[in-house]
Amino acid sequence: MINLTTIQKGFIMRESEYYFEGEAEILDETQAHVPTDNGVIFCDTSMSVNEKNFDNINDFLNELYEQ
Amino acid sequence: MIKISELTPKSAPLADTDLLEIAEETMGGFESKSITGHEILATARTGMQPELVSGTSIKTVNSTSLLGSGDVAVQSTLVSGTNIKTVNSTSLLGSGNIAISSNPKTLASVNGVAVVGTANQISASVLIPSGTLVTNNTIFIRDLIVKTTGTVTSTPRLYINTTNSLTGATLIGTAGYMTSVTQYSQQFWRNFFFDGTNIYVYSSGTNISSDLTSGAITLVPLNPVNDYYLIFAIQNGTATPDSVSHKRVIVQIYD
Repeated sequence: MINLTTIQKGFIMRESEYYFEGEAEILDETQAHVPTDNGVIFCDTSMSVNEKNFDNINDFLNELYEQ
Repeated sequence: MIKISELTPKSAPLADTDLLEIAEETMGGFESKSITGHEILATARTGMQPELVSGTSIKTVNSTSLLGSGDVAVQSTLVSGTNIKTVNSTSLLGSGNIAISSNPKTLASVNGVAVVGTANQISASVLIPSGTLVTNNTIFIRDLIVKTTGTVTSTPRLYINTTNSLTGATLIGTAGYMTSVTQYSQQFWRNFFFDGTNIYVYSSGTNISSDLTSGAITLVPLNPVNDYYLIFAIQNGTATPDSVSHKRVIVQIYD
């Protein structure tokens, strides 16, 4: 499982930092595209955010963008 | 006294047990001396090559003995263009190397599976093994996308990831929407220049079949020491009956 650790205006994934460059595009109830400075990242609810798991992508994105 | 030349001829070869005797006169009479046939033969054989035994003291050719008379069947002499083909009219005979152009190198040519359902799903993927890409390479994608059923919007996409999974993948291309029966097939072409650190990604989220026009570029990090997967995905607007596949995916690397 991939965990995203939130940082100021972004997150860390696989030891690399990504900074938001816009709002997420929701693809369906479990999937979304997150625009960052390193490209658009495909996220889904199989990932965790700050070690928290989510059933739907809205809650997932709320946690991700909360910082 | 009888001379040796006057001896009676033998009717058989010299045997080990044969005895050759001579008598030498001495002051008191004579002295008898002798040598056996074995001693004569042993002396004669000293320094001679031992008898050849096939497979023991002489090799065989494809299990065929070299002993005896006649020819051993061997491959005919190679004659370029006659019993050995040429490469672009260049003979393969002789020493040295024949340089073969490897630019572009086709990395993969695969068939994707049809995708149904509204989730974004993988239709095909291609591994770019670690060490494949070097600075100034270009990845060239030629992709035939086919929709077989359905009239609601389907979106083909292309991602790159270090694992063969969409999760955590980076979007690097979005093909044109496919909706009605007039949009059931499209050629999806993309070029990705690699500068040693990043690939240059053309308008990844814009729905367009090719990058043969001007558009924004995003730099997506790529470390060539890692394996990477090009992931060809589809997302349909309805669960059924939309069915779309990356029917034929060709990935080439240009120097």
